[in-house]
Amino acid sequence: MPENGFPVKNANNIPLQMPLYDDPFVPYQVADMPCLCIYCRAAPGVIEKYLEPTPFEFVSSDFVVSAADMMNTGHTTGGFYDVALVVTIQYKGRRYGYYLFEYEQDDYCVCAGRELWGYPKKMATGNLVKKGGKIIANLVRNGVEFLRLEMDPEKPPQDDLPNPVIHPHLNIQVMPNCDGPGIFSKRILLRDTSADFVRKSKTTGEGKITLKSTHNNPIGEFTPVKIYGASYEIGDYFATPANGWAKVLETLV
Amino acid sequence: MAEFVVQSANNMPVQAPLVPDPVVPYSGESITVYALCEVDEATIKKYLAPTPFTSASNQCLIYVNDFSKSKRLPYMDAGIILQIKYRDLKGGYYLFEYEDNDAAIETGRSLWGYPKKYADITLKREGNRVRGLAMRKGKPIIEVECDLSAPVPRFEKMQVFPHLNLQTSPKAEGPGIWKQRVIARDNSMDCRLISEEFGQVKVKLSGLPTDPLDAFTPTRIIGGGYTVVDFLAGEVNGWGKVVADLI
Repeated sequence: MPENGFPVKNANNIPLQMPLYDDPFVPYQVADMPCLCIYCRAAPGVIEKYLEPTPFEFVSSDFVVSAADMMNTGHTTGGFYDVALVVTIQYKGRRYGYYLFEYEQDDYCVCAGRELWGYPKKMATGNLVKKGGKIIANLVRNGVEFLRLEMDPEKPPQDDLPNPVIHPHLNIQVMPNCDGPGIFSKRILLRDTSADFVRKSKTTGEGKITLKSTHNNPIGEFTPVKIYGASYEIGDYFATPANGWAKVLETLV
Repeated sequence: MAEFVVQSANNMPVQAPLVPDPVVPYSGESITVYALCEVDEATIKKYLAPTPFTSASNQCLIYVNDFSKSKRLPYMDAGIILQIKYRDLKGGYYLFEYEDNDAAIETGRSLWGYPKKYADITLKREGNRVRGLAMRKGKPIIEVECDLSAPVPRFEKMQVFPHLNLQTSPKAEGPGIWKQRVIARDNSMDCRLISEEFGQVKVKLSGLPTDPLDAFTPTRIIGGGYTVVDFLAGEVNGWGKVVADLI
């Protein structure tokens, strides 16, 4: 501790003096990051319905749910456990990954994702673990386990795994008006850290997924009509100064 | 479960937003234990230095609040409020604020610039003793204990309305600030005091590496109390007002 006490900051997020998340947030990295993915197909019409309020075009009913352990980022606030439901969309002739639902365990990572780059994060706790020869991830929100992913690496995937377009991420960042109903700002942000990712291993197996809707959290509507299978990947993740930030693709409001 | 009606909301995820849209009106019983304190003036000055605000007094309000009975936006809340001046306005500046619900945290930050972080918070009354406690990352950061049977001399309350917040949002594409605004909010005229008691109060503030609350350990406690308020953030006064666009 310095002689004059806590060094008051003048940060880019509130509280300015001791911000919720690091300023700058980039760079950060996670060595040997484990990531479990379950590849699924939604019931006809579900993804179309969720894309309806967006300017994005429907590509297919396939989606992926990923659970990544990013607890070792080196941020002063700590890391994060991230679970996301991602679909491939098309926008102005190009395909991207669109995060429909995303959950993390702490305030700083939820708010950093929302305020910096428009990731639609909510708080939920969970773990990605190896147990009984299986790889298991779960999520709990308001005391209810609403998501569970499981891979059995001893069994083959149920089908050929699809290769959905996940990168670049395309987010719709929307911020509310302060002085009445409506939107203060709406932007399409593009972010792609994939060029800096170094994969170390990848295995595949049989996948299972349980999704349950809770209050204002309708993820149960994505209970798949088909599960293709699962993958489990270990790699070094980098959000570098070159690729870790986003680009403002469009300002809508 | 009935099929979810997808929204096109003013916050994310747009289909099923974290913050109800619109969030106003919301209401509920609001229970607060508080301590009015004096703190080191140099510390106040140091923490106001990055802001356009100047100190209006060496007092601060340290409180723990129970708003968990609200149907629309339930939360527990705790914080430290300074009295500041900005241009011709005098009001309350939330220097530290904590809540236990992500929707309420995001409401405060994204709509009005309240600098909220997460904490687990309790407020309990047993007889004439009230204890409020905020825990962050498993450690106590704010403890306010009030003995309502122990009389205190009358004291003048601190003016905390309007709230004056410095909402600051980061750039997406690199370091720095994207937008910074001073936002005022005052719904006090729509809140009805149901009961108020005064008593001797003790405060303990503890610091974390990211939350140096101990810097505001009171040099003197002026008084404390326990209030129950019928709180309303209504259509007319529940929203904020942009006082200044700084960036």
